[in-house]
Amino acid sequence: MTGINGLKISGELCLVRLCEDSRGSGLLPAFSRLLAGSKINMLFLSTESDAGGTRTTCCVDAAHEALLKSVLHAEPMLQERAEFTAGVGLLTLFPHRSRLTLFGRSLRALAQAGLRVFAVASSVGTLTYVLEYAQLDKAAEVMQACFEFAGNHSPFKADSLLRREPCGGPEARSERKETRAMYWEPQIKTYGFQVVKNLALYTYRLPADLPAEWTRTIKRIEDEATRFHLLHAQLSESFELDLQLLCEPDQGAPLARRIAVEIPAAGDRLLVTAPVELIFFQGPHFGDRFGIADFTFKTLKEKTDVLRAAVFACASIYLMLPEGAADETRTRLAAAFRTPG
Amino acid sequence: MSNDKLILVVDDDPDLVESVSMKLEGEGFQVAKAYDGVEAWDRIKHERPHMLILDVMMPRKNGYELCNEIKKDDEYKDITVLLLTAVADAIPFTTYTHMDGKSTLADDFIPKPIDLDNLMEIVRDNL
Repeated sequence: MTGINGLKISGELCLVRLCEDSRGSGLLPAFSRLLAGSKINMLFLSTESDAGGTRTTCCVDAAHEALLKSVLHAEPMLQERAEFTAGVGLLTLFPHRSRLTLFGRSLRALAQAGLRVFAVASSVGTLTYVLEYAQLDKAAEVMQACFEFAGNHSPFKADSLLRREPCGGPEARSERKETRAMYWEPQIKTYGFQVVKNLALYTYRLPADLPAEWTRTIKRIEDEATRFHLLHAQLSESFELDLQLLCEPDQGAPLARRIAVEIPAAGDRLLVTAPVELIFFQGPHFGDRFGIADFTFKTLKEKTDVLRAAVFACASIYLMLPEGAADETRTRLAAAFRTPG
Repeated sequence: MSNDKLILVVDDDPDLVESVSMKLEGEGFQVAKAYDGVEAWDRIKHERPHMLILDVMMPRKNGYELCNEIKKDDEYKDITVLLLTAVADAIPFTTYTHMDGKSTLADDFIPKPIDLDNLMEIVRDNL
């Protein structure tokens, strides 16, 4: 049995899907600006863009659903393109160590347990699934049966307290278990930016009902030693899981060839885009703070229009760009964010 | 490069644990991981690390508490503790303070974010 270090489950969230018919319409930056203006944190964001448009899945705290709907009411263009799904939550597994094993095994286990996956995305260390909130405990049980956890690991339930006001006194302090801080600095801090070039993007459409042959495909993914830089997937309108896997070409190509040989139908569902470039970075408490996505998109300005994909998960941000766009984008980000050194 | 020193990285942010761990492994260190103070104590007792890189704001047992418990325990007080925390900068609306950190017996108090190359230097200097 594969060992992993831990698992986290979130509180109840609300999922928002945004669909744009064309790339570069500015819908996602406008949406992010609206959330930041209302101090609503995006706990998860996965967006992918091609000639057919841009599809975005994001999650906010369920307590913010009414506020979000009310601010969207004032923005008809956004409101008509936003679709809400209440009662979702995040299940986060770690670490993935850039191997597909964790993804393949966990996705297959969730599918076999009949648990619907709304979205999934990797971060530097984690793999985060968006699932039905009511099924999170069951999903955690499924993962416990699937993986061996480290001894005395952190409890699965979120055990954090968000402090909004200064709190004093020895009694309050002795019982504190605050793990998230509401704070904002004039210049947002990161650990620095990493750029990877000459990558290949494998876009793969998995039917949500996962018939036997596709379960075998996932088993193949599970068995592969393929290393990835980023993976993310969203549930499409036709209830298919659009998976994007970003790898070095020499890592992804053998996997794609094997899948195509074993499942001839897969050829129609596999799209390879190369070369593409990737920038990723992380910062302290990025996952806990509103406005990070807005600040990133504002910094990118018109470069947001050329984004192939973006993922905000855990404390990491990934931006997938076409060839030749990463260096200038990094320069912009490095000028806007504060990096140590 | 190889190094027989075991370093325990403790933070409730799995992304930070992973990036620090990968850097340490790349430098040849042995690495163990924990995601809160209780889990960290368990690792300390079982694996007896040479150093802790320890976050402050964590569930179950925070970094200040764990640091003080280690430093007051004759069996473990020699373990080097580097507190790595965002609390080092002014954060409004938090119960944690920089003064709390300074009053611990930690061997060093490092503000987040830190350049990982600089962190490696601090690690080597403290081992």
